[in-house]
Amino acid sequence: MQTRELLIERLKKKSFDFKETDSRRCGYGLEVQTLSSHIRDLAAVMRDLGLYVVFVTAVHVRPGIQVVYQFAATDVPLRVMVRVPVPPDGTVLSIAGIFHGADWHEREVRDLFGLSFGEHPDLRPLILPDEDVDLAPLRKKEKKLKDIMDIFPGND
Amino acid sequence: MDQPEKTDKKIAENPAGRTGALEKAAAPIARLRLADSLLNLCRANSLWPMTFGLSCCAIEMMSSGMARFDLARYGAEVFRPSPRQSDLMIVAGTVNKKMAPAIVSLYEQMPSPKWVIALGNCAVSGGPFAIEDNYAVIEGVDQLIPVDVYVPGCPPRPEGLIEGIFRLQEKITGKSHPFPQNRHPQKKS
Repeated sequence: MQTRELLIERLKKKSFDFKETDSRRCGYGLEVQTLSSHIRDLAAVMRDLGLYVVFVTAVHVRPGIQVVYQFAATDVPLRVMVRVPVPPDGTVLSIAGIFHGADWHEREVRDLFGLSFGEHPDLRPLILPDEDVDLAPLRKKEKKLKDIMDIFPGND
Repeated sequence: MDQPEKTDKKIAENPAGRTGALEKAAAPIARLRLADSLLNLCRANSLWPMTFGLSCCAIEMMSSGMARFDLARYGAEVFRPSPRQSDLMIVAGTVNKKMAPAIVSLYEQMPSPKWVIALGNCAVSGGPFAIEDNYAVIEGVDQLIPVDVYVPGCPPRPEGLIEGIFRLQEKITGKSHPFPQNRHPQKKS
């Protein structure tokens, strides 16, 4: 069976909230929304199917800041966008224990967005100069926030 | 010979503030006009730039040193891999806040007399990064170290850098084209 069908089957089995999107239009074929408490389960599913982490970042939008992960398969053209709304305490569970490559991505997100990653092995500041480690420069001002429905190409 | 005083003033305004004393200590006790002008002529025709680049302007700097533009024609092609051996710092590119301490210590490690060329809009004034939301880029390397010649452009062409070196030679010796043989041949009418 193809990676794509396998992934969809497992997502259904674990009752993740996902939808198929037009990859020619938005660049990814599957979009998954989940909560911080389930991100590790989801990452484990991705790892078991041989997908890798493309990037981890965050977007500051209305109604709230979201952590965004993208996974991709190596054997078939398949990209998966995962969105996790950040809980009020600003902490999302780390997936660095599952994908070691996510370690520095999460440290970068901590620097630029001021988020925290629970159970991260080593969440030291990574890229900002010493005097700015808690600046969170990519947080937007209230006036500049855009609605989440406007910016994700998967939303129609 | 007003150049050293000017440099001192610039350093005094420099927020890092540490280079002022060093610079004063390096100033000569006595000045001999003829010897000075001779030395300056030599310095101007054998500027040794430091080998380092911070971003894309460095590509133009490398291009200036290669055969097509051939900085060697003006005596400034000996790019030294150590600040101890250089007397010209070409700041070619964007200076980040995180890079700033390294730039300042490189400048301090250069022996006097030394000069600085800010190459490209980023080093001159922050260029495209000089916006309200900028959080990482120093808007102009002259906030860190005294700059002698500013070469604008994004990036400046190699001719721009070469012209900057001419201006620096002019600043060092007090006259433009201190080496008449470097002047482009004029068409005879």
